[in-house]
Amino acid sequence: MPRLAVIQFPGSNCEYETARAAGYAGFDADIVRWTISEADFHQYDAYVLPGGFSYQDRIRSGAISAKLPVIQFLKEADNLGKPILGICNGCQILAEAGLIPNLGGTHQVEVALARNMRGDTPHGFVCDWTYIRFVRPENSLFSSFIDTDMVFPIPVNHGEGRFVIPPQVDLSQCTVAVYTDEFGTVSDKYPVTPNGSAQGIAGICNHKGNVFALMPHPERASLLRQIPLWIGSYWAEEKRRALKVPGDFEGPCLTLFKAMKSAVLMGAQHA
Amino acid sequence: MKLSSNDIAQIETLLGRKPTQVELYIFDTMWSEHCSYKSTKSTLKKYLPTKGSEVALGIGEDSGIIRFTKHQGKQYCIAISHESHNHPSQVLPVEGAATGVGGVVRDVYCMGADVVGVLNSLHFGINHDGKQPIVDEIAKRVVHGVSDYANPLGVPVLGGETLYHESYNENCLVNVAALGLLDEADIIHSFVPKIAKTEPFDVILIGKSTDATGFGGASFSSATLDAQTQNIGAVQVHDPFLKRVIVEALKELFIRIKDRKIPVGLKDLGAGGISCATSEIAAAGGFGVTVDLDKVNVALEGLSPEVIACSETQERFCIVVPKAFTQEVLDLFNLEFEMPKLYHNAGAALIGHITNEPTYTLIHQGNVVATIPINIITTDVAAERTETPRPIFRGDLPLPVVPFTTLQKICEEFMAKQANVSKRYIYRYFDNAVRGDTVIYPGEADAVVLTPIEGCDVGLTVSMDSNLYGHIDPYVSGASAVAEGIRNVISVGGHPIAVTDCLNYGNPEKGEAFFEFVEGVKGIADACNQLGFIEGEALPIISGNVSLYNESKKGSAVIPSPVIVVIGKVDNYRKSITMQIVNTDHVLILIGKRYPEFGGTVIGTHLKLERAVAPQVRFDEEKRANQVVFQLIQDQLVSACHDISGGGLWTTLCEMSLGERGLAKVGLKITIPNDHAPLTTLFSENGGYVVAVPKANEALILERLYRAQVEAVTIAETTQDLSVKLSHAQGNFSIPLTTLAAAYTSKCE
Repeated sequence: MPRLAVIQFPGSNCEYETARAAGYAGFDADIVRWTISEADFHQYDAYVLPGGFSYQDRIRSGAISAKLPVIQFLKEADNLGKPILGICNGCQILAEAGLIPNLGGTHQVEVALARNMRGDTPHGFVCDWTYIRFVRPENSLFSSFIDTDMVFPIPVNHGEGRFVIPPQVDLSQCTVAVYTDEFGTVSDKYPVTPNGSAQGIAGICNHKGNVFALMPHPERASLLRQIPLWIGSYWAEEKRRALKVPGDFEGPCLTLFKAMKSAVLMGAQHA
Repeated sequence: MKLSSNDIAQIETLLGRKPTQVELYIFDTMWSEHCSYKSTKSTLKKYLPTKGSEVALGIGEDSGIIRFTKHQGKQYCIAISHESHNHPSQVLPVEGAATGVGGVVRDVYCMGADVVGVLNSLHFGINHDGKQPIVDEIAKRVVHGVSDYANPLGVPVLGGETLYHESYNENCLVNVAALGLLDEADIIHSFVPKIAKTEPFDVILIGKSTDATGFGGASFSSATLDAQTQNIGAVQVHDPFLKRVIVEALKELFIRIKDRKIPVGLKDLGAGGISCATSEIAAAGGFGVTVDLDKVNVALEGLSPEVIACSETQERFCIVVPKAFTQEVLDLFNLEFEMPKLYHNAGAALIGHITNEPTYTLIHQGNVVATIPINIITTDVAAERTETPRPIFRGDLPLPVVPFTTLQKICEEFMAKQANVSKRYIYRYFDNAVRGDTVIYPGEADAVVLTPIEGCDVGLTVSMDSNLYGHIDPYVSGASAVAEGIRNVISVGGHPIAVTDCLNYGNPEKGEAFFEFVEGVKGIADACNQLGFIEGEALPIISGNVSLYNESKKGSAVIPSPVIVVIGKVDNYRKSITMQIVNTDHVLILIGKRYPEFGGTVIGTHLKLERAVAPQVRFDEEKRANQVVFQLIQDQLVSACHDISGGGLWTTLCEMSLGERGLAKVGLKITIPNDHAPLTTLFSENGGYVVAVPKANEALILERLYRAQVEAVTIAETTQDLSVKLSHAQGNFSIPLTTLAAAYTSKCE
């Protein structure tokens, strides 16, 4: 079974459910601490940086964690093309470490995540459900099986989720996830985009397509039971139906973890 | 310091000498109302039912524990603690509210449990005519304080409530509760294990380095807030980030303790800091303890011994372990989890040892600064309080009820009232999904449902409730809060298994306030005794807190505010339902008789009342309705269910149609039977339910309700047209759901 490491930073707080979701997707998932040795680190086939508030979000979210030795190991894993997913605080760490979008290929910081805004007003922490869609899904191992018109309900829980992207950073070859309404219409305006993010971007994949940084939480939408019944999506109807039958049913976002697993297995075949 | 001259004389008699400065501060903390319950203990003992066949650990330690379900050979339990942090939140709202959450979760972690969620009950003042902006400022910052703690810690906010009343203008209420999950075999107690009689045991302090924050906090919360006692230094400062790391290290520690069957005692540091935790953990095991204050990790040099001993620096635990295990504990926190690298001087430190001699000894710079027979500190102190009763109007006489305006106008505007609007503008700041266990989210139904045990279909449901009936009838206020909580867990498909209470009242030295307190306790006790779900047993109260001296600067008390948490079990989460109706071809059945009792109700201000009578809780009627609604949901005959409480039937029906977000799927055609008074039917707040059932099952379900001897009548049917049409004997009208949705969500940003 392919092995996946969920990297626990001091202040991570989503590591357990993230490991669980990876387990549902067929990974042998471990939670490993930020102090893990280099040799132990490289035994894994794929990595997830979970949500949380590492180092208390001092300076900027993710800024301190991005300087840890374990991030150096992670960059080596990226060089080997291993799948790496950063969720929420993990997304912020990947941005601060230069792992996304990594257009220059040398892990320089190219984008940042700033405090949520609604128009010109600070908007504070937001806990809500949103919808996302993938743009250029074919350029990433995470979404190569996904149609661009598929809409995924997914929750956000963050105070600093606004991507800031300088004009010279050209994402036109990268896969991105964008916030949409329930019908898949993109808008960078509130409430469709809950945090004022540039171009309504919820997540950015690196240029190579093996590292994905996503502010919303796929691990909280990996099982059907996690979907609220009020949302305007057929997934709510699916949940109503599924509640009547025994067994756990797959939610909309487990597909990201499954894509990581497929990539690992295909990589093994190539090797 | 709040010790009276009588207290000091008593201390001198007990010690046979004058106390040292450090000793005085210890007594000040330990004899405070907050730590000693000196005014209230006898009343609580006399009335409240605390026993039950499923209680794994009753009142007495940091949390109460109730058995929840068996799964794969384990007896899973829920640990719960319920606290107030009212005065700190009034003075420093962000820190006060945040440390309220921080304190209550420590109570649960220290039992060996993992916290699965928190709830909050927030009572704010009303900024009349914009003249008291501080009231709104406090409300806003308290919300930030709760989210500042719970979100980084990684525990979901599972619900709560927000109430507004002018009596809270100078004394807001912030009540918080935390729930944890653990195997009964893994309960860790807050006393020194017996084996310490023959084996050496060390005392280890874990967490943030000690500073001067929160010094005098316990006695601060045990007095009235006035200009002199607006003691900012007495409020603690929160660090949920550090707490998360400590908790992760504790989890690792619990695994080792369990695997190797190492006897330990664990206690959190809350009120009274080191002095309280170390004396209580030793005394509870029948031991003494010696603590060397110079071994305590401090944040800055030069702290006086009483500050080190009594400050309420947050994010600390005290663990008592066999000497042979000490180094491993120190290494776990200091090396494996790198705590000293995360915060200046944080970590684990060996600060003392357990003694067979029952003496509490503190050493500072080589000198003994306190040496007290330990039972004196932790002994029962009692204060005699007397009640001054006031007349309470009750009785079934119909009262003349005259509305100031038309029924249609009331209905159109009702959902925009502050009591009725969606509180999403508050709870959007709270993470409600971390841990990934949430199945029914806050706002979707009367209570949340989560599946805390992996691979197990048993759901946990919980509700936190209070009301504004206390100034009319303090007994009803207590009874009604319990009854509402029970209805809430039943409405989602659960049944109640335990209760906690947090009793917020005025100054107990005043007879009027003490009367209100005793009445509230009686109401809670009667409700728990009458409404249990295990035959022949009361619903047990397994944890609680009392907060007194809540009053304005002029000395008028907040309205009596008992806050109740009801914990419920959903035998199979797949049968849980929400309040929103989504199908046409359904009828809505009103369950529970309506009475014209409008004292303290939301509609009250629209009415001219001769005499205010609070909505009475009729236990027999409640019990019959609870049982039959529970059974109907288990039989999967009900599509949606919502209880009737604040705002009455009209609010219930609007919310069932609008759902959490005001996104209605179907409309309603309401028909009020000719023999029902429209105003009483729509706005009475007596307990009840509305269930939505397929039209095809209507006759069958009404039949079951009649057989169960509950008052039930079909009140509405669903329509494709997205409006609410209402007809009654004197007329009819129609309101578009978009109008109601706009009113309901008018406060949401």
